[in-house]
Amino acid sequence: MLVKFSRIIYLLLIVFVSSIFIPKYYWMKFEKNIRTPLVYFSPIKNDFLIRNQNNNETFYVDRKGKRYNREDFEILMPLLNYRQLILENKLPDSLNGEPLLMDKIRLNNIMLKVYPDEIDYEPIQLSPMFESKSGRVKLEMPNDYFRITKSFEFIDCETNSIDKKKSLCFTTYLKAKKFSFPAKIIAGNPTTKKAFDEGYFVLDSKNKLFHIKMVKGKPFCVNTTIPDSLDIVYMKIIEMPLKEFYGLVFTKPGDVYLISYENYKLVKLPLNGYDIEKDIFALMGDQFYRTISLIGSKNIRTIVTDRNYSVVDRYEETWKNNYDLTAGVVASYVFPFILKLNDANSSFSNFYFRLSGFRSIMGALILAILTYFILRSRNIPVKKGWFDIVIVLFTGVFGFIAILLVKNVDKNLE
Amino acid sequence: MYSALLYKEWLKIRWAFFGMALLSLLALTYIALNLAYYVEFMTAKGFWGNVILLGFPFFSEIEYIPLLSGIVIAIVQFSPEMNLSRLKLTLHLPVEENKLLMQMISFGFMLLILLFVLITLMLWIIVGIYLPVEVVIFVLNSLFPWLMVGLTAYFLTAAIIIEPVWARRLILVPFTLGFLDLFFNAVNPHAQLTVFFIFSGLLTSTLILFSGYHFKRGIK
Repeated sequence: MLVKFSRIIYLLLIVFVSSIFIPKYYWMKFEKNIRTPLVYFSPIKNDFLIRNQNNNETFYVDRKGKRYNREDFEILMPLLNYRQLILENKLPDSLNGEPLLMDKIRLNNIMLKVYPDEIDYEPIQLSPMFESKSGRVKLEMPNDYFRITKSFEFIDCETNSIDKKKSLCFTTYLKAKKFSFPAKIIAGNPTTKKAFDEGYFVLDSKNKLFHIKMVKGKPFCVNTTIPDSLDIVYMKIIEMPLKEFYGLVFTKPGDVYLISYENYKLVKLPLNGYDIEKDIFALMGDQFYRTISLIGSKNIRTIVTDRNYSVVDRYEETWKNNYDLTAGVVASYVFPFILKLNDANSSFSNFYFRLSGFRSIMGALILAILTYFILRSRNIPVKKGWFDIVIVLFTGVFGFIAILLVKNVDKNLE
Repeated sequence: MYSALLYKEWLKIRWAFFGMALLSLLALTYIALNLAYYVEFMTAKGFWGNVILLGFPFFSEIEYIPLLSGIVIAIVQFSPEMNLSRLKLTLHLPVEENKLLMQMISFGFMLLILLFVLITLMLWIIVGIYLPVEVVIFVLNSLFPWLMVGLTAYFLTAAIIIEPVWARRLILVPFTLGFLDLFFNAVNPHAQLTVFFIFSGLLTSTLILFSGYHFKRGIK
């Protein structure tokens, strides 16, 4: 009995390893690099321009299919390409009645991207608290990191021990501001490579969102009064000299809000169907428009809004991904499922299981029948070898490989 | 009977075990010295920033040592048995063969667990001196799949050695390598995956029974 069990483990080992490596090698050979189009909104044409790539050629088309080369594109997107246009002396003096000045263009240009693996991520829960009004031009890395568990704690890097005085000062201050320990999410932009510091946005245990920073060594904490019913899963905080918003709030149902500098007022972005687990979120902004794209593996949905975030225009495009192409169709017949330990949409190693669906059933059935004959040739009655047939039925080619490679236990045993 | 068997296993394994313990100690000493060096030259806050914000893998010297320990202990324990088919004598003892093989493998398993617990504790202490508990947890979470590789490699190497037919050994080898490779590819393993590593790793211990069955019956 134990030996039979041992054999089953052996079969499962082969099935498991094959279901990871065989599809992996298959796709290494047959996967096509499908270039995702990028969608821009031209303030000159007031229309979309789509950047496409095939082979080594990059070209731009509008919605009617008219093609543009790079030079045309640069002229039609002057705010995105202002440096090149200035170099060529082609930047217009004004647009839509507003003068185009280099500093203003630079200030208003925004480019933000949030990938799914950034949302599905658990960083080490320690953050540096910058001095946000040091009177220095450059930000400096502090000598301690903080955590917000039962209380607010600063841990000194030199001694690896808690700075009790500073910790108590922040804890008392936060308690006075009705912060409920511990923190659920601490979101900030812990780098010295930014123009200034806005500290952290911290979701407390009662789902209230607080803005916490350090000003001249003293704690600063404001309850943003953002509703606690939002179900926030991620926040992207990024200091921008434009000072329009502190960052973005992502909620579980796929809504995105901006936290504006006006009293932390929330601005809901007019998105629909954003899947935070799979779509890339991209926000481009300039002096006139905001272009928000949700990029999936086989479609892009772009919404253009004015500076008040009311919708101006929408664009959608779909394409075929690798699973729709010949190699993908063949794979869905051959492999009943594919197993991966790493996935581009998550920062965790885990089981990423992809079922191929009904197509693979045919293949598995044929292989199961073949298994029956193999067992017969090995003189194993179905009563004793039924498990092999079941394995092949459920795991198709992977199980079949295992059956071929592993002999049966002697029929006289037990 | 059992204690006599364990003594025999201990005689085979002891030098390899001490060797691996020494190697682990050297690697851990290196990590400890390196930590002090980083703190001195990057400054404490620079080093913390690298580890906490950028995930600097300052402890990677230990990565392949559990794997090596598992393989070496399996080789010293089981290859003498295959020499002149001595395992045949062992299997003729008045103990059920599966039980005997499991006893043999449980001994190596326990020694490896002992070694790995020591590695874990020492790494914990070394990292804990310079870095806060959040980082220690991160380090141990990264270390865990490497330790499981050690155990799994031990079980699978034993099964490969006991397997009497070269053709069947050659089948087992690539799947073993593929399986072990997965553990190393697990960056930031999710809790579910960690649980899977434990179960699947321990289940591979039974593979030696299938090889032993081939051996005992001389199946070609």
